[in-house]
Amino acid sequence: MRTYNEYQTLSILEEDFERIFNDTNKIIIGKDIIPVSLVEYLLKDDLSFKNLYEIFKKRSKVTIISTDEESETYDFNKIAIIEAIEIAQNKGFLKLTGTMANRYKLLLELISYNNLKRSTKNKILRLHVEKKEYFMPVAKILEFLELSDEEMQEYLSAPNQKDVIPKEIFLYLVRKYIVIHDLDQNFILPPEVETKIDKILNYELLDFEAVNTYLSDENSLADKTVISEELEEAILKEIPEAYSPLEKAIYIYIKMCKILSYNDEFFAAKQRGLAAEKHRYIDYIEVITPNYPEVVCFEFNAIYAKMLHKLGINFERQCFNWKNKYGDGHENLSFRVGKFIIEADSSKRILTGDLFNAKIGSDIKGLKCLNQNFDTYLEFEEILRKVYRDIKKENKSEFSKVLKEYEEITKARKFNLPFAERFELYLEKIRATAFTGINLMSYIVRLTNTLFTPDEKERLIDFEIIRDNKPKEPDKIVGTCGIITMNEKGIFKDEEHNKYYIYIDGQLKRIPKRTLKRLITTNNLNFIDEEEQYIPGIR
Amino acid sequence: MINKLKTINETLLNEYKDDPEPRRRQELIKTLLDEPNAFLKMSIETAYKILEDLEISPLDIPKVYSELIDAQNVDDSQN
Repeated sequence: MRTYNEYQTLSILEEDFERIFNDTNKIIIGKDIIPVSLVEYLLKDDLSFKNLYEIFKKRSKVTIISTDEESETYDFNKIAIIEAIEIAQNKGFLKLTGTMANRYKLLLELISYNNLKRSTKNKILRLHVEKKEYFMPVAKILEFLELSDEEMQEYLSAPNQKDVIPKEIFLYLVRKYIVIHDLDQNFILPPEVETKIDKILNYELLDFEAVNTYLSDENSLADKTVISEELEEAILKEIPEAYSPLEKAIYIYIKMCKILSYNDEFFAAKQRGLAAEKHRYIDYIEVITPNYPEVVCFEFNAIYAKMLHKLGINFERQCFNWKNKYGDGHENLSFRVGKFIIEADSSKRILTGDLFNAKIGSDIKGLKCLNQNFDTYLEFEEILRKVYRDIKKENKSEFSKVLKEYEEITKARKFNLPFAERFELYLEKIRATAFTGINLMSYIVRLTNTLFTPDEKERLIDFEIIRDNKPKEPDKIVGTCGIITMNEKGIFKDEEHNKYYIYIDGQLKRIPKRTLKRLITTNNLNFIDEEEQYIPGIR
Repeated sequence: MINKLKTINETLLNEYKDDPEPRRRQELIKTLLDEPNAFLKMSIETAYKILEDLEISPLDIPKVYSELIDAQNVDDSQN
């Protein structure tokens, strides 16, 4: 006995099901592979057609199941089924006459654009957008989709007028209607309407992606966060008054990255234990100042959120832990300014993130425009570059392009400096730098990349940051220390003769292999990540 | 140190005003010198080539380069 599910499932007797899906004569429509015998069956069998017709009225997909519960099920888009019937006819696999032909016409009529217009003639779309209620006749939406390209362009390029629904809101309503009713999956649309729908879905005609998002930041941390006056003053120092809200948001982010640094102890403790404990409380943020500038990701987030809140910009925190709790796991935030939706993450990668990049004028990587519209994305990138140039007080920079041209015309990279000479310079720079903590470690990473080729970094030199369990600073439970392994004959090939250097307690010194091994086995030093880290020749 | 290199670069730009190839190199160097911590953003080989083109003595190049890649040793104009 066949069962009928009124939603989208159509059940076929087991023996028919097997015959149909073993049919090698199939029509491929996109991802749907439809047996010819299936469409024939659906049009011939009275009960199946009745069920199919009901599904076509309400759903965009048809699920075909067997009365044998252990058989596979198959999902097909209803438009694909119609197209399969047409192709099967054209190829001579299917002959539609009498009842079957009439049934096909009924299905076609059901999903036709004319039927869509008829059935929605008096319907109204009712939605809350940007805290205001709108009533939009569906007929107006369809009229809009039928505009010619010239009429559409004229509409989109005209400025918004008083007392007329803004273009961005209107397009939001149109898109919402298309998505709720899955228009392009439920109806066969005229090609020009289909093209417009595609562009509206991808925000290509006009960027309204930010509409109805980030409407508030109530219940946020902003109220609980207290920032020291000194820190706020340092961040906002010299911020141009004429800046737009977006420019101010970018400026504040970059200044924060210049002033603040990643907390060395928290990094060494891998966010665990007593060293991490004080950071779990939001009150701790009050102690952060330009003279005591070490933060972790959620502290940076909370400070930035507070600054955005003061600018009247709404944001959302993204917490990458299952409890969504402050002080547990990685955190970043996103916010909206006008049409722009921005993500801010200063410490996605701690050693090569913006907390170091901003200090040495390298590209800012943690501020990203999330809009799908490519023009909006490019516009944001240009604004970011402009604000960064203002902060760096530099003229328009085309550094990468110019560098490439210089290297090409001078063949600079063929200039060969001995590895030993570069290594001596490397050690000299590490000894001489005034950077400390994580900034020092980031600087060593940067020097390693600048002075050595990728091949040398793989074979001849290695840099690891590990944990110092007995730091000299009395207020620290753990700290970071850096281990450099070097061997001109190969750090893996000739392990026995590797040379080791340790950066610890503000000093870089050579360390014998057996001493380093002993410090690790006696727990004075530890790997931060036991599974991922490896010192060549040691472990 | 950067300001000294910029001064040398300006002199050489003037000197090579009728000589397109070396002039082009100096123009490129001028743009590169404007970037904060430029020498930390290029390979040591390129940096040495720039210093060579700026006619720094080969004996002085390592010392000058060493100063240039100290990220905290930048001229005030680039703060």
